[in-house]
Amino acid sequence: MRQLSRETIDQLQRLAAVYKETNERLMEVLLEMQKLTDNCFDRETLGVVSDAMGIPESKMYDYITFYSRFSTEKRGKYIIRMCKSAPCHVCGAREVARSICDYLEVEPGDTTDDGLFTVEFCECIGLCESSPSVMINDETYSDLTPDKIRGILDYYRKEVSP
Amino acid sequence: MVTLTIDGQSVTVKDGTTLLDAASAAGIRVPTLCFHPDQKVKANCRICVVEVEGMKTLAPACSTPVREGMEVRTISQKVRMARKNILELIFAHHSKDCLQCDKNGTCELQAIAEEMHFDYAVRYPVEIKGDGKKDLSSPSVTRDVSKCIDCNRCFSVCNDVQTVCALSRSKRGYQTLVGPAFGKELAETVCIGCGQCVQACPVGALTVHDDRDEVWSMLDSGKEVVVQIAPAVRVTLAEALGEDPGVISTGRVITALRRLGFDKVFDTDFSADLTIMEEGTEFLNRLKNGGALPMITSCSPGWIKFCETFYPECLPHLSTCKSPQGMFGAVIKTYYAEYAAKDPEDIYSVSVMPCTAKKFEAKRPEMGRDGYRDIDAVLTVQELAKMIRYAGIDFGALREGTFDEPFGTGSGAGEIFGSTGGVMEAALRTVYEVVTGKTLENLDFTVVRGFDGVKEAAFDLGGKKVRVAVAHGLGNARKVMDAVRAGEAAYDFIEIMACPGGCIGGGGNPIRNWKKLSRRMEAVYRLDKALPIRKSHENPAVQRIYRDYLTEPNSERCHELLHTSYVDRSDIVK
Repeated sequence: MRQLSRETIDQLQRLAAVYKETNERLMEVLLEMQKLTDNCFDRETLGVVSDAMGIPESKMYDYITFYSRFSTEKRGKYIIRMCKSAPCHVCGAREVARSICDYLEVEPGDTTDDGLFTVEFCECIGLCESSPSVMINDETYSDLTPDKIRGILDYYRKEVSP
Repeated sequence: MVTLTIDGQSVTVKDGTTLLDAASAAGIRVPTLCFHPDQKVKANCRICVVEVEGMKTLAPACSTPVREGMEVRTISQKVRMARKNILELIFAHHSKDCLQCDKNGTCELQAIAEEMHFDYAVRYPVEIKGDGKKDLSSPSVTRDVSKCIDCNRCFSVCNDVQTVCALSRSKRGYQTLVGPAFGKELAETVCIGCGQCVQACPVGALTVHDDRDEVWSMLDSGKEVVVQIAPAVRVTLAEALGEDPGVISTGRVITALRRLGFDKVFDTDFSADLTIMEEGTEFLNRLKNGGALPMITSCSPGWIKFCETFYPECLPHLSTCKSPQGMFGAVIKTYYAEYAAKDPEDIYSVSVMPCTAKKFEAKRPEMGRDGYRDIDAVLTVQELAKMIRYAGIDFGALREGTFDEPFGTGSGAGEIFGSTGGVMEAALRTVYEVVTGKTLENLDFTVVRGFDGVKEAAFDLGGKKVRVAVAHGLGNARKVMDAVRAGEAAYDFIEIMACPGGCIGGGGNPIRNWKKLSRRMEAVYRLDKALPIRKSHENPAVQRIYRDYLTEPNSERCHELLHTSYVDRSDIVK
């Protein structure tokens, strides 16, 4: 099992305090936490977080596994969320998805060997007027074509994470 | 009041009543699975759907409140079609090896399938959860995920009532799974083995860890097999064999155990009395010498593990006394072995308990010496009832037997250990007389009886005011313990029982609800009233063992045999 660094644990505890003070913004706090821990809440991380928040592990696990934006398994630095709802689908989302998977040499749900990308499907992200769309972490990209998405992936590889 | 029509019958019920209860008032039982009378409504299994005139879709009876003038049909063609479909969806995920299932014959799903004439093929792809292996890791509870129907009754009792939070839920929709987080085994979790999830499970997903086979084999082994029966067993065993809740069957249990081949049948009421002598003395010593107060009872092994896990800093408050089972186990392998001129190796000691956590307690390293175990096997009431049925014993027709010597007598004080408040009351009866030297006129400390979650009282012990509290169910215990930890608990003596209602509500009993529990509780106090001796210190068997063997309460030998120590288990939460 991986060991969280002292620094990461401190950061998690600081974020936990934000929630504990008000008993509000649980989702927001957990999304922030997840960025510090390879986009996942594994056993160790959830143990630290539930202890710091004073919420039993059983309830945290219930919450984490309910929402698809969280994971209990290690994921890439960038999560590509491909909308699979009808409007994107009829505008060619399938071709875009195929293009992403072929270009990164993974199947949906998988993480690239370099640990940079995880490809996931998700429900409607509310950008139907400019379908097909994807989210990469917190950014959205619309009116995609197979070529355009490859360019975006190159940008992430070279510019954002050289 | 609201008047509505159900299946053509007019029924008038209170505003806010659910259709399920209204139907029941009209003499109609609507099938249910996720519904539990002691829990909040979940409405996730949908088997209770009914047709309501004017509503577009079928309504779950368990969560739909009545309205004036409602026309409800509980068994129309539409309802039957829907229920048939729901049953198929459940069976698409439920392993149907009913013959090998512990709940065969007592399963709620099986009963519904039988009523609904389930003789058709399931039209959906059958996908059974899990890898086909049962989780046998806990000595108390066995979990078989292939049977789980996601009703959430276990989750509710584990998280909301007991606040142990060993069981979680994962994912949603089609992939929902109820069980420990991260797919852990029960032994890796904070599970304390109380078995309340077993009590809540409508199917065979959570069952008592079964030790029948080992006991059967030992009955033929040539060893002397001795058995002790806990106070609650005599008020729940008859119920487990189909009689009414609260039927007292002490004499018949003894005869049944002899017929099964047990060589000696002892009464745990005896060691409950011993517990009172030890615990009462310990309490008085703590009062006199400034020991850790409040002192908290230690009879309930589920509670002990809960304290070790969640309140390790409060361990000094726990009485060092073993539970009555633990004390008796030690006494049997030492005092009794000498009395019967046997090598402890040649004695196989069984206990029959209302409790699943006692199975864990018996396996604790502290419960044994010189390489042998104090208690070799623990059977729950459920398991003993099955053994009696298997042996073809007509329980209703049995003659009344009596317990074996040298532990033939138990007092009423020992008997009430079975109910919440009982240990406290038993202790007060003895402590009062020891401190004041006066005879108690009214033995009934009714203020500590009943089902209130936390009961408080204060008593005058020869000029010294003693403040006591009684909590049952670990959610209530948590409230009391938070106060103890914060140093805000104004008590001297606290009784805590892990299970709601005390031992009569234990996980190893026949399936419970509050209505049955109140009948069981009445029986406990009826037994106490009827016994000639009602104070532990007046039990002649107890007086004899101190005279012949233990010398006096809290003596060195008592500490060696009857007292124990605890471990900090909080790592598991971190």
